[in-house]
Amino acid sequence: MKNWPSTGKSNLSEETSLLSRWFSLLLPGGVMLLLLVIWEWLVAITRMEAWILPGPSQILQSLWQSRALIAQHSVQTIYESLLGLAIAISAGVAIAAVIDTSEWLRKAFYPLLIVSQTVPIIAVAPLFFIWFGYGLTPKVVVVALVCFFPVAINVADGLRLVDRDTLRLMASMGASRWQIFRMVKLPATLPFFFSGMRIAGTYSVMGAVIGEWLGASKGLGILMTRSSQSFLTDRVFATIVVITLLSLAIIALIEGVARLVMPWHYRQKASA
Amino acid sequence: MTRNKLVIRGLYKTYPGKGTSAVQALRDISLTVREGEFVSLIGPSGSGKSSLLDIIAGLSLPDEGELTLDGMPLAGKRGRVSYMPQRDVLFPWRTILDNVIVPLQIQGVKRQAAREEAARLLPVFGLEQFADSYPHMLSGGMRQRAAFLRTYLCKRELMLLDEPFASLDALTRMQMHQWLLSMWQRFRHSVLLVTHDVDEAILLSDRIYLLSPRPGEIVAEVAVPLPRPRHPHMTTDPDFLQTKAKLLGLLQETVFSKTPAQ
Repeated sequence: MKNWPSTGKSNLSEETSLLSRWFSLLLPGGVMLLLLVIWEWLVAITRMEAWILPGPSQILQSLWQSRALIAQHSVQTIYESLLGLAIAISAGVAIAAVIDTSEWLRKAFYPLLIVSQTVPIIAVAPLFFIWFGYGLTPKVVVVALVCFFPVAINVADGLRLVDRDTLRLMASMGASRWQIFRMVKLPATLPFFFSGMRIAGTYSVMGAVIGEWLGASKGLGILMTRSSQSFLTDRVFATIVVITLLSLAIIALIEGVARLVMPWHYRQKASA
Repeated sequence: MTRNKLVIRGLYKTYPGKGTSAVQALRDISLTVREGEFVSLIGPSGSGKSSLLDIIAGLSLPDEGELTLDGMPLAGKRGRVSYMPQRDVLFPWRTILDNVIVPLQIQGVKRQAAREEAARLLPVFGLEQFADSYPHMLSGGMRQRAAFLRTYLCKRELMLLDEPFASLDALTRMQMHQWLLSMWQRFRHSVLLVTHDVDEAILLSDRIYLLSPRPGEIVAEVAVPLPRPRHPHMTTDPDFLQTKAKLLGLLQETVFSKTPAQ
């Protein structure tokens, strides 16, 4: 009576999955390259003015020329994004954990969480400038608020959806509330936490940039505003490229941490 | 006569339904599991078997009735019996070794010590090559073995098994019966097994209780005359078949007559 895991098969599927993973990277990359070439070509044949629409090559050139300036402003934006994100994670997880302790609290606060998500933070942002001035604080507050909801709601959902049979088993073994939380609820909620984090990560840089638009002395948002006011359209585009890359870097960081913290989740997904 | 392990006397349980439609799940249940005895409880779906196991495991309280383990009151006390639920509910984030040590950790054993203790038992349960595997890598039968080892490591003298083999295919189930018999022969726990399967109940048990559909009531008690140790081929013994005929007859009289087939 032996049930061996099918190692031979999984090797083969690993190879094909590696191949298809390369392919799934190459394909969109190729399409993007093609689109950039078309863009460059259109700009050239229509003799488009550079202050209206520069070609990709010119944007790249501008990115290289103003690299020191962009780097300097990026540091500020990264700082605001990560600080806001850190606050959002702490607050989101804490609130979700508190809501989970009682059915009453959940019923009272969960709908509020959902509803408040529809409040356009960006429209509210000018208020923060009235309250907190033009320094670092209002930007961090915007980032924190934008990132808070996806984290809080996902973690709250994760805690609520923990398998009931598993909880019953733990209870039957005489586990304490803390043991149940640490051994079951926490790990079971991790996948939900990281789906919230992926959304929050995407929002974080955007939140910081929007905060800076409304008034700042440093940051990619203010660099963009200044560049567009001077009709340095290529530098506006260069800044957009950097903002996109920053967002991607944050998502990659989150993805990397997720793989480190819950390798079991990815293994299970891969075999499913 | 050996000592009584679990004694239940006159147990009632009613669940408040919506409005006036309260559901009586259990009525006047009395049963005994003696030390080292394997007892089965057969009943159709909705006969309150799970409610009864919940009460024995301390997850819910009876409305009325007496419940003792080794002569001590048991109602509402958790962690006194080993409970194996229907689904294996192994944690996907833990390896098999780390899954089976959960009850030890709950009892305060340090992870390393718990691992050492469980690692010694893996070969006995036929799980040695899966120590570092994750549950999704195992077949249903192997997962059920791991769940059983976890139940064993609760180290309680009474085991509650809630339809542990219901989700397995027929052949795997036969293998698991053989395996469970050899395990039981070795450890001699007191066992209360809940099942739908008449053959399974006869092959494994010393005594069988028959539970009627809602409200769950014990309608018959049948002793199994087969000798120990048991083997799966005993399912063709005359004694086995006689017991089966008796049980099916009782089911016909008491259980099926109460529930028209759907």
